[in-house]
Amino acid sequence: MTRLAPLLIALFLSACGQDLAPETQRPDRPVRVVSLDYCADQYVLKLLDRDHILALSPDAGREFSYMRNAADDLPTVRPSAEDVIILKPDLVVRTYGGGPNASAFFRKAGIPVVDVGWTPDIPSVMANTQRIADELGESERGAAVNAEMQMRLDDLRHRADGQLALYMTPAGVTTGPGSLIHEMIEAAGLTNMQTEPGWRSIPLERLAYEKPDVVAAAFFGSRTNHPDAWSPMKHPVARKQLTNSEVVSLEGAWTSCSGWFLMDAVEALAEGTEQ
Amino acid sequence: MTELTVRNISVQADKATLVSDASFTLTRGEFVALLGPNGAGKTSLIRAAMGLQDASDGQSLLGGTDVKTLSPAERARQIAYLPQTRPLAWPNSVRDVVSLGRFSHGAPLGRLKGLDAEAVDRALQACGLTDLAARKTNTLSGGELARVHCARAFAAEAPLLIADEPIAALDPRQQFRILDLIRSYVDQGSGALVVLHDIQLAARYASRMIWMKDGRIVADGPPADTLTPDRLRHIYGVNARVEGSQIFIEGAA
Amino acid sequence: MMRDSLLMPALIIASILALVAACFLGSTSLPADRLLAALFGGADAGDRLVVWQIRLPRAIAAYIVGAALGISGAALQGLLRNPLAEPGVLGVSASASLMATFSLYYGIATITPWALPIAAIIGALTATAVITIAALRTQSVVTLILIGVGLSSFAGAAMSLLMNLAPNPFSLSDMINWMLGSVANRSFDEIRLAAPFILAGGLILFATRRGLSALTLGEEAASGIGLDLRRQRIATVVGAGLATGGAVALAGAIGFVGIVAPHIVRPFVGHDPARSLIPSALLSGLILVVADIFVRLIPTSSELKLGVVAALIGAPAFVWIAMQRRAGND
Repeated sequence: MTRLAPLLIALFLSACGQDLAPETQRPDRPVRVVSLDYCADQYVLKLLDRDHILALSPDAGREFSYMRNAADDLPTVRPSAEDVIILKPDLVVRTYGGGPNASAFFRKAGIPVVDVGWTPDIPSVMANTQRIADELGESERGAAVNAEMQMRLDDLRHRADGQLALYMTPAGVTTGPGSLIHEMIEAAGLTNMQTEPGWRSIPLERLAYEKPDVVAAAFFGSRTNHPDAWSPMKHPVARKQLTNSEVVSLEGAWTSCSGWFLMDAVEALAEGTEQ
Repeated sequence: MTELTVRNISVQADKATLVSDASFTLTRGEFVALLGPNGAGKTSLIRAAMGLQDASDGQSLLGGTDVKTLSPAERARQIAYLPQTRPLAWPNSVRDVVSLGRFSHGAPLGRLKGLDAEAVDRALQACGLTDLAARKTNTLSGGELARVHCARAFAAEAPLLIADEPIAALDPRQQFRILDLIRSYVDQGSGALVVLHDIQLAARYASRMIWMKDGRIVADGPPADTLTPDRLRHIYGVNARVEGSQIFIEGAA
Repeated sequence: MMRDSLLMPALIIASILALVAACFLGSTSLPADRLLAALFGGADAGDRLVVWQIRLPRAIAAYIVGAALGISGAALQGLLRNPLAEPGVLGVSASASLMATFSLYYGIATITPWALPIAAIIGALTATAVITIAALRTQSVVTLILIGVGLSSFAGAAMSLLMNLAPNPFSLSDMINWMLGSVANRSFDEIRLAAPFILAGGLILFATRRGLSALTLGEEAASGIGLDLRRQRIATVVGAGLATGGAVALAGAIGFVGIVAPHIVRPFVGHDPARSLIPSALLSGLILVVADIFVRLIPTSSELKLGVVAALIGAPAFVWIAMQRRAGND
């Protein structure tokens, strides 16, 4: 009879649906962690011991993954539910991996999920790092990352020379207030030339009147973003104004996710103004 | 001397022989009727004679020169052609359509000057279209349209005219009008070759008749010589009586 | 008749006004006095740069693209004797777009900047040749338009396939621009590459316009009055191919522009195809400049594509013209 009990309870629970799904208890110190996308990979690789990482996302070793070197030799898994559940992880970390319903689904399956989330400015990045570290059971490591980040920020606080910076991708897209890129430019002590919020085409007409002191060129090395036939970058006015500016090349890995590694980009920008 | 001389023309299409060893001449001052049953090869013959269709054999000379060596414009200056189907793609004015007759002289439509404009006016007047000159062709009756096409042919003022069934689907009065126009055109010194189905009208207007059957020319001469009951029975398969210039067709043979 | 002789002056004045109006629009605000100063001398360097290098080239690009499509449409309608013929409808623009994207994303365009317009023209000429050969075999214009639809669909599908397989990466927005058309960020550099071909095509069409009038009588009678049919067909096809290819190289595939203008212009020129060529070019250019003004005025998050506005105007016109024609005309 007692051997049947768990089976009967399991049948009863599965028949009742999600209202009676077991509470997903997050372990205090997870030792079988799977991350579902490359943004989650960064935190997992930075904050956890290697032997606590069960599997990373397939993009962990790509050139846009900041911690790609650390991802060597670690197994990867496709972010599909079947592939992940079969590994029996005790925690899943994700930003977008697995699709929009993945968090709810994994929780229903009894696996706790840590959502990395998006952060609009640098203080939230730091707060987020701490939260994730807490949920992964590595609070001290999180605090250490933030402390280093704060130190680097403080170093830059003295150079508020307000030079004009313009961020752009090869397709000629830039961003203004309200984005993390904007906050990064300000943290480097520069002023963002783009004053309109949102992601837009570079302000071609403004370039006729003034040129930026620093051009923050992002993703120029990667193959997924390139100048197209209607790109404002090809326009003679843009070419003339921008070739005279100081160009700071931003690695895709620094800006493609929000995380502590954006400090590399901030420092590169700040150094660019010194030339 | 503008003369169209056709020598031993044959026309083949796929495996069928449309015209076989046909020869005739057309000179100024003649009104020639080309007669024959449907499918006898009349249209193919005149198209090959003008060089619009390839002849598998024989040659056609216009004023002594092979028509194939002439440019379309040179040929058009010598022969005005009125084809069997006469679509009009756009609702142009009557004057514009008639002005197209001057195309081979290099005139741009709508801005005709001098000789070209005068020729158009003469053609319009000859065909009684002066009042209708500004009307759009899609508002005209069948008879009026037939006269417009005639005027277009006359406006070219070419020495020769070839018309393929110009009076088909017209009422008797319009038929007479058109044929009268062509006759006065001939009387002014041109030559005309007209494909007709109405034997009575052909006999009345033509100075010469060319009879075709099964791709061959079987007779070529004045009506008095060629228009006989035997001929009618042979060509059309009908019983007929001929009395002077009157023809009475009595039924299928 | 009075109003007919006013047509050309009216179109020219309206075109100039539209071009100036287009210069009023841009991402920075430029008040009228500074704008006019920049246009006619004076004003500081920044203003002049904005007006002459950014806004004016965009307006001029829209104008010459419209003119090229308008004159090609009017000429094709004269050749095929049907008011529904037009480079977009007949698949010419789409084919040009296909070859243009092929040359761009398979690296051919890096050999020389002329490779892009030449590739577009090859695509356009191929399509016009196919249409003309088909026109010789069938009298029905419905069949021709269906062939055009087939060509457009094929070109669009092939373009998607090629861009996905291409060695050079592309952005989706680029593909949309090629298929729907845009004159954003056009400078005199691009205009300089496309304009010679548009001009050459337009001149060929203009020089052989008389033959289009002759075709009013049908091909048989047109030959009869002295038209060299073969030369006329080749000239119209080559002219339309050059002009459309150049237009597509500059702005992508824009359809239906060449339908509206000739239809409006024809009553003013006595329905003569030859006399409709230049006014159709001017009116189409005007329409496209106005469309480009709308594209920038309509408040959408990303700029609407020019081809979308052109289709919004042109496609209903296409349907209306098609319904007006009597059944006997097909």
